[in-house]
Amino acid sequence: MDHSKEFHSTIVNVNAFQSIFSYLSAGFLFGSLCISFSFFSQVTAMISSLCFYLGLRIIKKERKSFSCAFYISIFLIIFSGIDMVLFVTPFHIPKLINDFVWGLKIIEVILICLGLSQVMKNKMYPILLGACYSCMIFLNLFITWYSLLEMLILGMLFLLLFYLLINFKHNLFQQYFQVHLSPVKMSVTKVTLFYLIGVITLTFLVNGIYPYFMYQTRSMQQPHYSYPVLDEQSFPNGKVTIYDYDEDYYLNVYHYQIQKQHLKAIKISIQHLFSRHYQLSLQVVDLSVNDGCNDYVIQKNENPSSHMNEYLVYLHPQKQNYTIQFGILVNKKIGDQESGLFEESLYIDYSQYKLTFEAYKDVYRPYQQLYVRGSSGKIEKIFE
Amino acid sequence: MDKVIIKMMKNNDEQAIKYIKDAYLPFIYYILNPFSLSQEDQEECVNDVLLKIWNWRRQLCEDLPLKNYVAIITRRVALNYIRKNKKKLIFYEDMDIFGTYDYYEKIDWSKIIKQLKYHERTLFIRHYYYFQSIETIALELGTTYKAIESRLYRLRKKLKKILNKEGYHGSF
Repeated sequence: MDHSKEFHSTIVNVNAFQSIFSYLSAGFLFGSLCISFSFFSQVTAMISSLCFYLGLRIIKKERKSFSCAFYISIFLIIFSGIDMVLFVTPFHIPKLINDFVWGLKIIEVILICLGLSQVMKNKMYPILLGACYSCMIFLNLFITWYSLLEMLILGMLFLLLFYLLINFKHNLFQQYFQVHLSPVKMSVTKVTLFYLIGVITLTFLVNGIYPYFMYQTRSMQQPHYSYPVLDEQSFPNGKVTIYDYDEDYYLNVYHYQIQKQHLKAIKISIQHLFSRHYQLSLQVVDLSVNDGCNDYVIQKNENPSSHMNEYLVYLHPQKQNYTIQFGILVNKKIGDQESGLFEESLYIDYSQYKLTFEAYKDVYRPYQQLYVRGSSGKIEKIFE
Repeated sequence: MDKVIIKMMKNNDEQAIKYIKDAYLPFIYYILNPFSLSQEDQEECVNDVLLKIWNWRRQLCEDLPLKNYVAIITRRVALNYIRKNKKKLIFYEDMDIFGTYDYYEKIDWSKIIKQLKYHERTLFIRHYYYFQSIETIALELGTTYKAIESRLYRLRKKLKKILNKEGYHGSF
């Protein structure tokens, strides 16, 4: 019996469930980390669904619950790919479909745990595993990277999941050896490469092609204002002018120039930040984006539930210089109180989509931001 | 649990055998499966394994899981059973890298395993130690027959080098 550690650990780990368990564990661990942070959630969702698919395709004939979970995993693997492709574009999957997919993920895990509990004497581990994973998925929907407490809870749940998986493996490998396995037609390497290369290629293709079909132009119309000027300030590549619009409103006109930038779309978002004391009304007027020859057609997207107005402009992908002009009407008074000029945050997000990975993160982290805040009619801070 | 069973055996408590049967019988059958034995032969082997473990009880170390002893003893019992009863020896075509059967049994597996990567180690143990067929390995690892075949081909090449390096010059 005088053998090495490696020898001993290998001979006892040989089991019919060896690779199934590895795939399912990886699926659980990656799936539990779907935190909305840049590409992170899309990549982990892709890996998780791929791992579940690889594990389930081997045992799909063992139990009915495994076979149901297998079909769900096929749907989820396709959905994760589509989600990844759409991530680099301004298109989004509707919230209803997204919620449905989260529900499917939980159903998939419940089916896996149900199947595993049927093959094990000790049913506690599959139940705990399913509960822990579902908790993590549920938490991930609300968690932010900035909350220490939430991160701590998530970290502890992750450790618990890891602990449960180790104990689960020990129990499973000890008790269960006769499994009804199905032969596979494609090797793991081929499936993984086919899937990953397919998604990446599709991402690049969609990213390169969609701008040519999306932008629309019309003849140029430059608005001019004849209201009394209250204040004016320049900032890099632009200026803001504040007009006395009428008795009730200020008009803030932004004039902004972008030069030598390959952009595919510009998204202007205005989010109403309600405070306890003020409720400002804020209206965008005369929004225009032009490249010196033509105005681009702007799509407005109002979302009353999130108090967010979005203006999306698709641009000609081969132009480099643009001028953006827009005015915002801000009410002067709410009740008896002066509202100040800029109690709401306003930012311009230049969504940039390039065929390089570095540029993708700029979609969700605007590389240039215009930020205005002030009070009593004076601009305090501009361009941050 | 293993420590309790080993202690019980060292105290000559025969109840330990029942516990071993409860815990490790599926594992023993799993190891015996590739040897293509009949039901009666398998049962005979199981009894032999349990007897060997009982006879070995003084040498059992509490630090090592009982599963390791079960695995090693079961494999040895199955090989001896095949040899004694002149059953067809499980020699796959590609076992020639180890030379003769006797030579194969003298190889220090630990030394060889140390020089292999994790996935090679698993494949090596499954195919060359537990004598699992390529079909079984492909099924259990969730991949194709061809993928396992080509992995084994690469492993054979590596093993030849290692065996030569370690001084095992079989008749290849």
